[in-house]
Amino acid sequence: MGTGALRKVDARSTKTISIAKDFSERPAGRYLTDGKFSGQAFREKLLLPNLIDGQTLVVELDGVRGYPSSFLEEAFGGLVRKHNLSAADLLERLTLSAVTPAYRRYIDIIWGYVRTADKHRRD
Amino acid sequence: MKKLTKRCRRRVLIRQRQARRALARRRRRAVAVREHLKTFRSTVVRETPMTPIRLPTGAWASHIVIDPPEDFSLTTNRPAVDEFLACFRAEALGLGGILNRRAKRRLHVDFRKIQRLAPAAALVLAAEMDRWRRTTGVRLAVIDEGAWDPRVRQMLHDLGFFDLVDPINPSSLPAADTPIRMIRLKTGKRIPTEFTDELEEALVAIAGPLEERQYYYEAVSEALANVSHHAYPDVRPRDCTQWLPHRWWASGSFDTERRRLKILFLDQGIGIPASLPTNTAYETILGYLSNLGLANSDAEMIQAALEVGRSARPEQGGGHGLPQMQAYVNACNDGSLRIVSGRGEIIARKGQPIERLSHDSKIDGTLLEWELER
Repeated sequence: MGTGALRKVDARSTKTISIAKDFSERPAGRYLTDGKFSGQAFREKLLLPNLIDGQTLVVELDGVRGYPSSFLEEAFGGLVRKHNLSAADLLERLTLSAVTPAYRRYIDIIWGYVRTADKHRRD
Repeated sequence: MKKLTKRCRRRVLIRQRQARRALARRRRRAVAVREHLKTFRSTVVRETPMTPIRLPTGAWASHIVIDPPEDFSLTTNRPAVDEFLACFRAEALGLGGILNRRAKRRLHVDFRKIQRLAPAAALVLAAEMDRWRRTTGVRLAVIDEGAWDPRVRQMLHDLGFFDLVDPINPSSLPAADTPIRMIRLKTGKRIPTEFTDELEEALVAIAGPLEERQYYYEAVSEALANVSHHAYPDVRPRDCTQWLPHRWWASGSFDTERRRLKILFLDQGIGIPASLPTNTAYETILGYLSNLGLANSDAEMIQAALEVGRSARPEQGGGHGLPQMQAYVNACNDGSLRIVSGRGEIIARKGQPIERLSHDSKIDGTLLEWELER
């Protein structure tokens, strides 16, 4: 899990978004009240609308200043906690991509948040 | 005698009850005033023999002076600094503030007493001045800057301290040679997008390029997020000083002799130990303390919050902020993260066990200090 750049996807129904280019180079904060580029804003404006049935989503992680844990957890863990998506659903439809080695560590971190949120959702 | 109607009797009873309550309030107030005077006026505060000063308006004001400790450092002289800060808050914001305003007494701090000033303590001091200024609209009157220790004065000047106070007789004094360079105080609320870049630019100006910029960005962003989410609950506890909701202060210093960069971050909220009971990871934290046979002191609670966030799986997704702040130190060559909150303090040095310290007095809010070797 987590090596999204190597997975094969159906190109006809795949959308790719880049956090740095399509959202912000400085993501920070958890909730909308924290600022314009919070995890909740990213999840509600970019992640959810693109995770529609039949479409897979590739999220490119490169190019940002960094990823505060509160941003990542709210953006991706929030898909499970707030919108009741399962980790299995996300694994099938969501791919995380990082070309630069410095950003690859976030792939496992994000899937860790998703797995944790899914475990507590099922408990 | 006219017989009172039922309605009149009721009014009389109500007025008697109001009078009894007002008397009880005056008595409680008198007891509080006596306690306040007994606690503070006999120690750090003195009735000044100084000549009453003439204000710019032409009026004359009497004054009350608080003496800070000579060694103004939270590391080497914590009890005295805490006592000074508590006294200042009581005289500026609390009951003392009301007494002083009624008696038209002006509050001073005799900064000539300070011979050594640590950067973290300077930030805490500046934040107190800022809180008083924003809360009451009054600035601390400052006199005799020329008689202050030159290095202390230079540090406070670099910090922007003199923008927060009211120099009575301002004069331009030559810059003093001090090995510690400080950056200008930054303050704000919530998570401003450009703050991390502005802080980095100021740090680079005194210490050169930062290493591990990604980790730096994440650590500072998490510090801001923690203040936004945990430091200031909606209802201020009664034992907390009047605060400025969601406000934080930040600065930095570089010791050119020891080659040490410090990044400082402060809030005046309830502190980490007091915020943990409402945290969804609280049960996990208590379990961690119990497993290790540790007590629930503030220092141990802070350490547990750090360790639980790193290793355990919090239920609702939070708790990773403190470990990410520590990760910045671990990514750099050498350094430490110091967290001072409540009566507890921990120092997490790279590659070493966490050191815990407990103090008798409380600090308002939480102070974070990253110290990095350059």
